[in-house]
Amino acid sequence: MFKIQRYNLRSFHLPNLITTTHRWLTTFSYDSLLKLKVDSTPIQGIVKQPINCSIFQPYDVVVVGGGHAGCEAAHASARMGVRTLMITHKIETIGEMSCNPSFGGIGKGHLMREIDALDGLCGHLCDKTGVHYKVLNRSKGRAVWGYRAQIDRKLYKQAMQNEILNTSNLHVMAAAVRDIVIDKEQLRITGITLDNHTLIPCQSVIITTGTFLRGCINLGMDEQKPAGRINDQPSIDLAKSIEELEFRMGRLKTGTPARLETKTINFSKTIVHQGDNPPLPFSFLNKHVWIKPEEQLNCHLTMTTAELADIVRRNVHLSRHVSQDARSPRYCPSIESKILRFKNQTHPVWLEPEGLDSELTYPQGLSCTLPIDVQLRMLRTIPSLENVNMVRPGYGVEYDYIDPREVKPSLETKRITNLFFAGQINGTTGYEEAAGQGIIAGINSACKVLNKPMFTISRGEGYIGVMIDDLTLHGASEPYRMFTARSEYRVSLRADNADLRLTQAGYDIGCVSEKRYNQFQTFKTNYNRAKECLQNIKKPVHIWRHLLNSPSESNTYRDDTLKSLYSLVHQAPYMMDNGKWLPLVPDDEGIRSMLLSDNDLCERLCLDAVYEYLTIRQKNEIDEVKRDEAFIIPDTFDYQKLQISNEAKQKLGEVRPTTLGSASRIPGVTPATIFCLLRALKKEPQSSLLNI
Amino acid sequence: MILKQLRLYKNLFFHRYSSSLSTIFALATGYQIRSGVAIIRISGSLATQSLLKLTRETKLENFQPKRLYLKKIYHDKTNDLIDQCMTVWFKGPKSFTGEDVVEFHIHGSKAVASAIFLVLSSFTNYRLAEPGEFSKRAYLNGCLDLTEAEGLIDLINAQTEQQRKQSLYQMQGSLKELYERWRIDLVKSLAHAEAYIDFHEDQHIENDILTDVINKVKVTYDSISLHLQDHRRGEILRDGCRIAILGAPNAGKSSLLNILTQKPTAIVSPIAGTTRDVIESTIDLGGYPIVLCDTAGLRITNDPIENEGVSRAFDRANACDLLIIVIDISTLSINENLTEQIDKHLSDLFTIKSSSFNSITKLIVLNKIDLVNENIQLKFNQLNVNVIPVSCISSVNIQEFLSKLTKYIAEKCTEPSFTTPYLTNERHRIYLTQTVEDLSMFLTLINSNNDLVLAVEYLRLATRSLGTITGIVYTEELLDVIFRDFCIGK
Repeated sequence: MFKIQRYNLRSFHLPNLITTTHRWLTTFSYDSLLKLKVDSTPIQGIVKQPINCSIFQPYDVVVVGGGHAGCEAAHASARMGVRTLMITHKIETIGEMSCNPSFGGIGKGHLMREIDALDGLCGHLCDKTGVHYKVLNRSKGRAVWGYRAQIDRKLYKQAMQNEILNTSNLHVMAAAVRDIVIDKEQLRITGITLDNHTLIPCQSVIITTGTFLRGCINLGMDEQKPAGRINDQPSIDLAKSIEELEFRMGRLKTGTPARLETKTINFSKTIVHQGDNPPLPFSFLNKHVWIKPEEQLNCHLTMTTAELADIVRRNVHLSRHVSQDARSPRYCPSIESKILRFKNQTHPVWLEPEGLDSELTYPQGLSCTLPIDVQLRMLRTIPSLENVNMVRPGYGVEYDYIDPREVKPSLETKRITNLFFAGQINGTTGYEEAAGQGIIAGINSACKVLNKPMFTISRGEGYIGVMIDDLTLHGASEPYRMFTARSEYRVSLRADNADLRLTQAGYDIGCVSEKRYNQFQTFKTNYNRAKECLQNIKKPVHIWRHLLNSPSESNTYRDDTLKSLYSLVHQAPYMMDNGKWLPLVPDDEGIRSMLLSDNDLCERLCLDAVYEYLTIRQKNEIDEVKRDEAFIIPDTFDYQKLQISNEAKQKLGEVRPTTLGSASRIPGVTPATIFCLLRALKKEPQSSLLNI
Repeated sequence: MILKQLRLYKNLFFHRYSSSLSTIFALATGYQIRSGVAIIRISGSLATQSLLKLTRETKLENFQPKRLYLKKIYHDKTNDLIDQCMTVWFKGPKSFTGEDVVEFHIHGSKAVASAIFLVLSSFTNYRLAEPGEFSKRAYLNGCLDLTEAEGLIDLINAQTEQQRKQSLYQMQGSLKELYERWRIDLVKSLAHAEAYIDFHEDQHIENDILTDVINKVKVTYDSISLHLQDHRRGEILRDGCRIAILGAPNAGKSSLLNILTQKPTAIVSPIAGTTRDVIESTIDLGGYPIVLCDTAGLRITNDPIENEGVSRAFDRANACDLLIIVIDISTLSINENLTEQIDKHLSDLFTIKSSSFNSITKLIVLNKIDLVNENIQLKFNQLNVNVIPVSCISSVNIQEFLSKLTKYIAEKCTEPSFTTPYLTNERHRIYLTQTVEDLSMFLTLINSNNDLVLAVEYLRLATRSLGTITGIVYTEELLDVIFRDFCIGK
């Protein structure tokens, strides 16, 4: 009877509001509705939680949570030009790095580069807050280089808050969310209520509450208290509301190690690891990071001993995480499980600095939930930590997560229109995984408001796509963490080419700024010109040998095969040795001088040449995947009517894949089933089968 | 109007993609091809290449679309004549799949089909079609309407069902085990390599893990290559099933040959060592082509000519698909256990040239039962199933022998292995060849190149090719191995 219309807040009319908020009229006085005024001036900064106000001003998008997913989501949505409100318990904890003081790593670094290619925040912020930059995997090939940095917690938080509070179209409010408000008939978000029952009408809601959904801290067997992070409130009401909507939920565990007082550590007994010189920036926008190479802090490596293993084994009954392990993850989240599951008695412990002026050190690899006294005894068995002071004990967190099969690849829930989940709540672990989902949820919630098609990244386009596809198809039985092994197109999805893969699409949808886009365009033009030029210089192999002064084979047999300079630049011994091949590039169009002045460009050309053969081989497959992804399966599709095996019906019904492509990736779904599905899809009345 | 536009849009959209898709080929007439004519269909942007390459024509203008041409087709590298057949091509989008389609209407022989498959799979960007893939492409390119699709689904269902049946589950135990072992080995090697890439630096995975991986892959590589070379794939049906008749001198091998060939092919005499060279003759038994080889009696001898004959007998036997071993029953002791005596006799015979023929199926014939006491015949029902007592002279039990032999040959020819190029197995062979090629790339790259990822990518490709036969290897399976074998922290 009531047809809810999309309303654009910039031209907000009261009659529209009355229809959309019909349900509330019974609860709220008409007076309060009249007070509603939509401000068309740009919004920015902190907005106070309303007191004595039953309905607050409406927003397009409300982001619940100010963690890494929330920040990226809110910022992306604001970048897209829609009025966004971020609600978080405390302004001071926005951008808090609640566990390890580092960003990036193998796989995770790839995610950060992709977020950056979409104009996200984390990479760019890490370039101005890091204290120790190190690219992992340097010896194993560029496709798996892992950009990583130790970050100064305080600086990062400040930088993030500075960014969030100075973004136009983005308001920030310190408040607790009590509930989401939905139109029960249309199953669609209409707003949220705060703990003082104030209603904030909005079109989309992104929930990024991390471990705060019925979060519960474990410290030994006796101490167990509800909290998302130590000293922070969990969101119990919200969890109830989500449960009432019958979302499938599960419970996961994570942990964090003790924090140590730096001056009580005897670093002389450790192996020192210095940062890279020069340190490489995360962001495509930056050529350098903020810190001087020599001013970087060091990381230190030490190993646990048999004595520690002994203490752990004797006290295992005191660890709640281990004793309750019904469905434990396959990897080892805590030192207890490392000791219990593997025979080797020693495990690496990385002593990581928490920041430039921080007194604390973070012992990576020592997450545990043992009682405080046992933790201290355990720590002091480790070489270099004999006299250590434990400033804060390690603890475990148990929290609710949503079965990510409840969300679509756009991160919108399948049950409630315009409700999005992003981050740890979807069963992932890690800042980068959260941020990657945040940016997608932010973009898509804005797309909903702007009536744009959903923005998704396929498995062939990025690690963000791999992560979301894995989550939405297979769920998360353990906290999901990104590895490069998860991508079948690893040589195509590299950290170095994230901009070529995503920036254009990001610009087209509207989440990439003109500044970045212009820089990207310049780079792309130069890159294409140089590549074309190198591909067009063709000479017989023996001539090349002569020209390139190849040491051993220069005088051997004559080889008349024509090869382009491009096909040679990556081969040892010329690889990366720009001095050798650059003089052979003609300078008539200024290409040589361009290459000479741009070392990055040379490097990326060489890299592309290295992986060229396999990327072309993979491109066919990626295109085939893309084509299948273009076939949308409607939300309401009834699998029961298909003439397929019951097993296949059950599997498809459980996962409810959103495209033909994702359906075909479900284990056990045969080609015949897919064909059946394809045929049935054609019968569907919808004309929008194709997602173009 | 709108619909028409939509369709146009859709076609444009897919056309953009289809141009970059692989060219696929398959037997369009199904895998049961003991028939007069079989059709190989090739679809994709590069399809016409095959037409030119196989017929050795240079211009596509020589072939008008939709017209049949009688052509000889050749192996593109060795220039061997494969078959004379009708060829036709359809220009996309006016074809079944909407892409360029080429068809070869070949003689319905497995040998011909497998030879063409071999050539096609060696072309760049060509691959064997997945079940239902032609129809899928047709549908995607807008060339198949609903009613047509209705009919096709049953066909595809049937096809995949058949494929499932012919897959690993239905294979003979040994082959299944072999494939499964390779699969496990590759998954493990790959998982370890992946763990090294993803976790080596922060979780301290030992450096020598990579050396282990290389060694393991080498072993797998060797055994798959051996498996591919070892069997004279494709030849049995073209050249016949090879059977050697072995035995001690004067056991009656030549008599048996003459019975089988139904003519005096070999000289038969009571003198031991009458047959010196290998005597071959081709016969047809129950519809199966057979090459029978009579060999010199196996014994240790000082006569250089006879010794050479014995060596040749062993060489020939090694290359055979089935051995018939003839034993003179009168040389066995009646009172002792026959089976034990037969085993001893065999091992005595084979150790002359230190062979064992373990991998070759054997049929044992106890000849000359006319010469022995009837009491011994009571013991015959205790014999193993592959032992059959006969008399060549008085033709006793010969019919039973022939039917048993036919049964063995039939088993040999239907056993899904590389000795019989059934086309479903041709598929296996294509993927195994791909696996071996990718493994060899892995081994080359990992030894010469610094880029580990590039090398491991080939290991991944190899695992995937093998997975097409043995079951797809999902990332989860790899992660299981990684987390089981290495201590990976948060």
